[in-house]
Amino acid sequence: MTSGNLAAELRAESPDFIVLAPGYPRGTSTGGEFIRTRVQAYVAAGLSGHVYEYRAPSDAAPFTLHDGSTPITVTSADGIEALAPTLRELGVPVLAHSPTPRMAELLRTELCGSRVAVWYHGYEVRDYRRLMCNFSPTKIAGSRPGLDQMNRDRFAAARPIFEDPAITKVFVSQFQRGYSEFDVGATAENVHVIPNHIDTDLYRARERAPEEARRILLLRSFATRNYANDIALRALEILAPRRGFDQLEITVRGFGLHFQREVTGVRALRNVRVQEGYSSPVEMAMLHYDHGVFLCPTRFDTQGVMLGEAMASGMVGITNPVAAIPEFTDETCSLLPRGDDPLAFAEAIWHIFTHPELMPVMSRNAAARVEEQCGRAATVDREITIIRSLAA
Amino acid sequence: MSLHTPVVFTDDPEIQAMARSRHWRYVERHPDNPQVLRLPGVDTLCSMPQAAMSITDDSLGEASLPVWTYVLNWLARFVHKPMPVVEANSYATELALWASRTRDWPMGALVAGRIPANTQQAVALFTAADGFFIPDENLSAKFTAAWPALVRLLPDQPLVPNEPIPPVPATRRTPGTTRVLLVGYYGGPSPTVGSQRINYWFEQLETLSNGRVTADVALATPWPEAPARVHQVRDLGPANLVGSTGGLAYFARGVMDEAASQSYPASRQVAGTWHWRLIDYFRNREDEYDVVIITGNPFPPFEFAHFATRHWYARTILDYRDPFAMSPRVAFTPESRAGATYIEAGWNMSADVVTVVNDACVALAVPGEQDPNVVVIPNGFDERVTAPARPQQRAAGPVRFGHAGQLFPITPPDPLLEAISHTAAEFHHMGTPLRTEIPANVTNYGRLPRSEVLETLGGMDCGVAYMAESGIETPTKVFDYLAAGLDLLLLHRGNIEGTALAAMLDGVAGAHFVKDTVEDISAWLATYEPMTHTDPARAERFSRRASTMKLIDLILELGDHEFDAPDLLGG
Repeated sequence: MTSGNLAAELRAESPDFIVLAPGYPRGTSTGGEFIRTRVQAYVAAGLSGHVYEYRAPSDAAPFTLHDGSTPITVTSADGIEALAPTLRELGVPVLAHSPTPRMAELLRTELCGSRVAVWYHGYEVRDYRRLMCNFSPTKIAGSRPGLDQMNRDRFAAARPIFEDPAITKVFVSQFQRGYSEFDVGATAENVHVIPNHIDTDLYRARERAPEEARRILLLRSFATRNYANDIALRALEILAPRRGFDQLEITVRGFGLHFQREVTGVRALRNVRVQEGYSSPVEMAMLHYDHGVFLCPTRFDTQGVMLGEAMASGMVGITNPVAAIPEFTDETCSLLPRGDDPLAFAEAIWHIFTHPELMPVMSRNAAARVEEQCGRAATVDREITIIRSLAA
Repeated sequence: MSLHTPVVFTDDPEIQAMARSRHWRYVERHPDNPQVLRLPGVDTLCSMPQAAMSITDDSLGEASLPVWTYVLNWLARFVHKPMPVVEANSYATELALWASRTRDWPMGALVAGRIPANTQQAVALFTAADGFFIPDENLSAKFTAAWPALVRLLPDQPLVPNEPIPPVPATRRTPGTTRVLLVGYYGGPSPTVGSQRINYWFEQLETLSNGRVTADVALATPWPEAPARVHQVRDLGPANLVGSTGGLAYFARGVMDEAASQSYPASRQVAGTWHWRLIDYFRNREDEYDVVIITGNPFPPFEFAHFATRHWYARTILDYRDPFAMSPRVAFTPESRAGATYIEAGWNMSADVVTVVNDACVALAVPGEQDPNVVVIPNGFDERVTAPARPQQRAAGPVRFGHAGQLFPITPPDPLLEAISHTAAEFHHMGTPLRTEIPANVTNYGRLPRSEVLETLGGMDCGVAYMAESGIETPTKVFDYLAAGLDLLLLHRGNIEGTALAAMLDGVAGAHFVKDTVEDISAWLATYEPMTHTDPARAERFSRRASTMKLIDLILELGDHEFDAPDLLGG
């Protein structure tokens, strides 16, 4: 297929929206799940779309797959550039997620700003040093020159987009907006703060009973240290010698680079079940159902979707009031020991175990908060309104 | 204890003769080929792979490493337990640092000719050396006065004893106690103002907190017969990047590449790689710290905070004292200032709290966040050394001005001396003597111990301090003047609004801000009447105790592991 074909195909489809993304889940290729759930929600609302993933090399021939009724074309940034005149001509809303510096330049110079909305999910407009926890001192020593250059490139690309009032910008939290503006060095104009949608049909609320305080789940990626699983696992090790600890039933499930090393200390505990593996959304919902307390330590989250999904299920979360977390939960629905502190985290686990009467009220509060803040009306419907305004 | 043979690396015949007179050995470069070394009395010559060892310039590459290893083997073969004594910034400086890193050899610092530039290698050599060899007595006195750490001369004897630093037991968690690790490059017997701050904290945190806070301290500078809980971690300069096998550590290439890419390469500055030694030292220990306070300058050890957070889950305080990247006193190029600003922002992004000494410095801390957490922990007078009680009535006689500390060329005392020369007023100077012609009404005391400074100040009416145009300083002498109950004469060149001293002394009785010109001082003198300040409350808030109590509150807050449970069900 050629870029000319792509343009013709697009004219023939005349979709309601275009998604531009550097990555999109297809087959075994992961990344961009947040984008896919959005596209599916827009389509379910009656809109038609076309997704362009542009991470292919310049000389690769574009090809198109389908995810349900939605075409997904895998092409290169050059391919998008060639398509830009058609996009401009059709006036179709362009929804760009996590634009690369080159794509940011293209959006700004080749498309009509009033038709463009840019979603920033976090890393694209964040100084990498905010997540120094993800680097060991020796690893960062060799990586800084490249990372510093990446900072410069990303911020230089984002700055004119931030400052362009014609282009709509979407952040998932006020916290994310704040640090992004600080790091990029520009105040963003024409901004919407819309959290990621939490699927409350899949993660159905079930009020937890007091006795479920002893059924504890740690379900998290172990890919990077900002997920902070080490804090929860150290907390379990701290609690292990306490009388009554053996009454807890704990499941640790996850996958990623740090999994094997991090779980070493709890493998010997008889009441801790360790499972390595990825969990699909349905499997996650099932694990939620079987447990009462969700351990969700964090060093940095721009929203905390995993926490939100557990809260939607009615689980009582133990998390840390750091980064964007305080925007999405509070002490009426989660226990909030201070961040990066296994001792404090251990005390929070022990508190809910020894005060199980808190479970029902916190469970109800958690589910209600997610429905209100991250349910369909607060997220997808607002995004559809943006798409319609871009088309007008 | 072990005995070592000093081996002086010098081509200077006079220094060689002095070494010989002590029955020491020396190494000289062959006059025909400076890459060949010879030990008098030894037929076997030794070749160096390069004209000088430069660890960051590929001296430890595949081709050179075996040859440099041979140099040390050659020394060890012909000298009993060698102790290299080398000059700073010389061809052998890094060789001695490398020998210390890889073979644990003691080393000495040779200072000859003139005081060397404070390069990373020079400062590392001077702080890590087991002793100094300074043949010229005048230079020895000059160097000792200028060097901000202890100067111990090597004994004039053939074999020099080397006392290993005793190991420090691990600091483990105890309920109800917040364990603090203080990290500073200079400390202990070092006479610097910065040392006073960290020393006071180390000595007083536990007492002033009633045992709720304990403190360890890690220093680069030597502290003979140190008290318990002092971790002496030597800075070996570029040799900090060396692994246990003698070659570059696996991370060293990354550090060097990074330095090459930066407009302000922090790792090439003084103490630029010391944090790697700190990491190496603490990595395999079983300490458990709640709060780690790193105090500058030098500032590059702030990199250690990253390790402290990862390794101990510790909260970190970066104590800048004075500004780093935005310092008006440092002559950065625009590019290097931008580079330093970027680095400081990164440090501050990760720190829990940044501390500085006054309000003016708050504005010059590079923010890492929208709402940076910058706290003022002032310096102050050490109340443990008490000033003599102030008499209720001032003794009759002329006005006596006192000045303690150094006088800098940019703020000469000439206008003040000229103004008082037409009066009966006296000027008493405690510090490096004035070099100008001394008028009759000026008394030079020279450098005095602090207790004598306070005693002498007790006989004065008014303490004199100069304000730099930047206005960011709160000189420690001012705290001593306050402790002694003096009026203050604060001589300024620029505006006083917004300066640190103006903010600090707002509402303090007897503080006189006067423009540093003969006319302004004379006009002020014409109406000045000394006041006697006998109320201790005037000075109390300027004591180190007062500022340390503020630090203790901060430490207790940061070190609090309690979980505050929600009260959802009404108690």
